[in-house]
Amino acid sequence: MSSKMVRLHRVAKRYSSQRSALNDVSFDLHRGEFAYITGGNGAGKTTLLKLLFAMERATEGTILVNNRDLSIMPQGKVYQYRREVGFVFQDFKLLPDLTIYENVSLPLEIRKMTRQEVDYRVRGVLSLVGLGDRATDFPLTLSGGEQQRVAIARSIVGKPSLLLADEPTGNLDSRTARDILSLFREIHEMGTTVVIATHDEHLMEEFPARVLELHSGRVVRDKNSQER
Amino acid sequence: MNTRAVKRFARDYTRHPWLHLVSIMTITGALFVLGIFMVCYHNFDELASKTNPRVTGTAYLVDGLSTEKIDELYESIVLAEGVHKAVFKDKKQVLSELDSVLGSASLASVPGGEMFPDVIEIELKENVKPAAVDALTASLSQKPGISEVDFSDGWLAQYHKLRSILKVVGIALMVGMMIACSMIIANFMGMRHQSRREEMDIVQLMGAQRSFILWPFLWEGILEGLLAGVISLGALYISTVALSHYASVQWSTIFEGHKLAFLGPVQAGMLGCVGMLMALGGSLTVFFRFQSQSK
Repeated sequence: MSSKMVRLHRVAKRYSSQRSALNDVSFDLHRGEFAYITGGNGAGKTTLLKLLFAMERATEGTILVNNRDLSIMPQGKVYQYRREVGFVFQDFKLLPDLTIYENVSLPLEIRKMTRQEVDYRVRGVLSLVGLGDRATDFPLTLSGGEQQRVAIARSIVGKPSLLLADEPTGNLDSRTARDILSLFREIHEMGTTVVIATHDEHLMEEFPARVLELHSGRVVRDKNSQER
Repeated sequence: MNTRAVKRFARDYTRHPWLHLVSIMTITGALFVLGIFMVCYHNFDELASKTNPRVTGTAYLVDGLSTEKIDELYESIVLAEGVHKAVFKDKKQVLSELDSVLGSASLASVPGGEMFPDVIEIELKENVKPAAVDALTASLSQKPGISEVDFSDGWLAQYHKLRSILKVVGIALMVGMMIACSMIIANFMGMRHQSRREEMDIVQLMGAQRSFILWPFLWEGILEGLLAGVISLGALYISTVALSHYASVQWSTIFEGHKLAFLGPVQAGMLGCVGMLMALGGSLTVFFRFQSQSK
């Protein structure tokens, strides 16, 4: 396996003296790995992803992503880090006033890429997710599955080395959910490290990968896909 | 020019035209009111300068002065700082003029007429300040041969006071309008910017820097302010011309031959800048409000 891309060491996140979302979490992810983070409601899945995306800061411990220590990263540098990491939200977070093309091109507009480069990349990822002919439509005219595809397209258009997804199939029916997971697999096969937070056991069985199970903020199981 | 930011503003404009229109009209209204005040002040100023407010006064001479002494006093007054011209009048001329005003039959019938002194009537230069008048009065009063100097300059002080008050009121009005309109505009923009707030949050999650988020707000303020400035200046100009025409017809005895003056280029530019500042103030208020609420 290639080098370790994500390293968490004794990470904890506390919101108050009574409320602790994560406790003593340690694990590594290798470059190009595909992993699930699973657990019941309140297990700490979303909190863990937020820490990996620098949306929040760990109370204790260290988080290294591509050798960057997120626990001490200055707030003014967070925007640079986020350009290297893609994030797919459960509620898609598409902008309703923008077309599909404009939504997907946003990450590239932020990077001030040329019009030609933006067009090339956006059309490429829309084609990958199967929505090449819907570029001029608005998000509200799409189904839930299609909106999630757009969100995925937007998250990978910047060619991130790490892709995080928080319950990406939570609002979708089972068939659509499988299609979405297939898409994540396809992205993974292109070399992206993928981490998906989910509690859908059926999907994890259908698309086996490493599973990190959380319970009450602690890692209670770390099972490789080969271990059955 | 940040064309992407301008395009994002243009895109938001086409999607929320009515809210943008209300913002622009609010600024336009405020600028129009300010502009009316500026036009009034401008015309008052022009009128004041055209009427050449010259101060006049009289130096009363003591009795029994020789002709040489009178000439000497006359020369010193003509050469004094601020004096435009001076005219010597002996008591007979003074009584004659008084007689013509009063309509009396003869000099002898005016009681106490033998007590009138010789005078030197003085006319000062244009735009002389009250302090200069006071200094001249003091200086002339000390000259031997002059018993009293009287300049009726009370109205001049009032005139300067009025101009100063108008200036202060104008500035206060401008500042007050700017603050009030910025707040009103911020509220209208706030309504429109709820969707912009979502965009701000999402683009921050995608790695946008603060400047990327800020620029569309700045362009919105600049362009809306400029547009409002142009519209208000146009409306002001039309109103000025219309009012000037109406006044010259309805009140021809007063205004015949006189047209209302419009603002000069500097004043018009100032009005436009005020509009931009109001719009920018509104935009930035919204931006920083959202920034403080966002992650």
